[in-house]
Amino acid sequence: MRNALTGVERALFWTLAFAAFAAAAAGLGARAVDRLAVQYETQRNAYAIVRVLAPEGPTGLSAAESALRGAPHVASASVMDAQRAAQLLTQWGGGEVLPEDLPPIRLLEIELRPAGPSVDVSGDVVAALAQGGVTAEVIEAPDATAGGGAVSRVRTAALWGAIAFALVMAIIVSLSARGLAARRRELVTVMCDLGATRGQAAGRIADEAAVLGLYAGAVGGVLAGVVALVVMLLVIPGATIEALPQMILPIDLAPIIAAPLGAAVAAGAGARAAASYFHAKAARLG
Amino acid sequence: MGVDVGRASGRQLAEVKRKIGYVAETPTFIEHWSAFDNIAMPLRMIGKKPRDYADDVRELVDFVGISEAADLPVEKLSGAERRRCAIARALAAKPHLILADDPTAGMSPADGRRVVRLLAEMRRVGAGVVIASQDESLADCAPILRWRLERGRLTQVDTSLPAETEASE
Repeated sequence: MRNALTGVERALFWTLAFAAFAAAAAGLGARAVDRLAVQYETQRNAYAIVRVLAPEGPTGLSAAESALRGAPHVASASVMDAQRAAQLLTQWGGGEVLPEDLPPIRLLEIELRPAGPSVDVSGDVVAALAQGGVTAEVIEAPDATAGGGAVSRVRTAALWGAIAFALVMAIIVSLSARGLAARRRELVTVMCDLGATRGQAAGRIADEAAVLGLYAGAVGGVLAGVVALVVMLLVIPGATIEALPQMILPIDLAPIIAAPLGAAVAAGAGARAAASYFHAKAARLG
Repeated sequence: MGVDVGRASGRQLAEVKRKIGYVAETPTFIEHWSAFDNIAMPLRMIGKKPRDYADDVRELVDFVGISEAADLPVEKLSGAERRRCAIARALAAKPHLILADDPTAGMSPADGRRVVRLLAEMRRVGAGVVIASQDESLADCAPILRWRLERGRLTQVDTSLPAETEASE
């Protein structure tokens, strides 16, 4: 790191740090999208509506509510009143819906416990209701085959988008590091003249670039982490510094950890390639 | 050195280069490094630590007569000092052969004679020395064999080493 972080190298350091910051921020963004998508999917799968067909009226609704209390997979059940129905229709449909405009509601909302993919939750709930003397149907959120599946597509897009963006940043880091090698061309030429192999000459330059990339990547990664924390505190309702450790999963830190490693590898590879080229030219001239 | 350089691999060529101390007509240095660091470069390349080579390099610096300039960046050295620095660097790794391409170009006659004597002295440590120069008079200042390259033909001028004389500046 002789003469590192002076003059041109300082500019290079911040270029690498910015690229690492951008890549880490994209990675953290992808993690946030993934977490939100998973949370949405969990909530979607844990919610269903029961429509009571018979008996009609409040009798049917209270019988259904009683039957659902002991039903498999059901965590809680509550009768949907007109106000709640209007609120949901407003939320889903976009236009305002008034409770007094609605016909008599024969619906119950149920919270479901997680079940395996092969389990027929609706069938089990309908069977439990039938045992309680209620004829009903369960309306679940559509699965992937019925127009769902957006969540998995969003997760995949976020992951590959972040990877593609990180690769672009790695190319920028690599090309910037070639500039470092160009500024060390004199050293490569002298080493070649003195009998250094291509590996020795290129390795020395690559090591210098990799160390620079490691430090710059660490700075960029940490900065991205700090920005992500600030965004979390500002955007997530009720988020506090004390609550953050419970909110962050170890895998959420992957982009921050990968930033210095990726920057070091990309910078080292770029500088090695350029230094090898300069060595080859010097060897031909020599 | 037992290697056909026309067919040698890059690694073999590098190996041969390490056995040759080359003093180019316009030597290249790491300009912002000190003369000392530049001279030590071949030793660092073979993995020696500063504590192992510091004394040897100081000795070389004294030998070529640039003690006062040793810690200056090479870019601040005069032409003659750069040439001596290049000679010291060529000698640092104790090469089997020293090739000097017009090592006295641009030097005063006194400096030129001194450089040739320095190079010729390396024979005492067992190294072969080849000096290419347009100035034939340099051959008179040290006991060396003279060859002349004329119209692509190399001919020997002296058939025996001249008597060793005390050269004076």
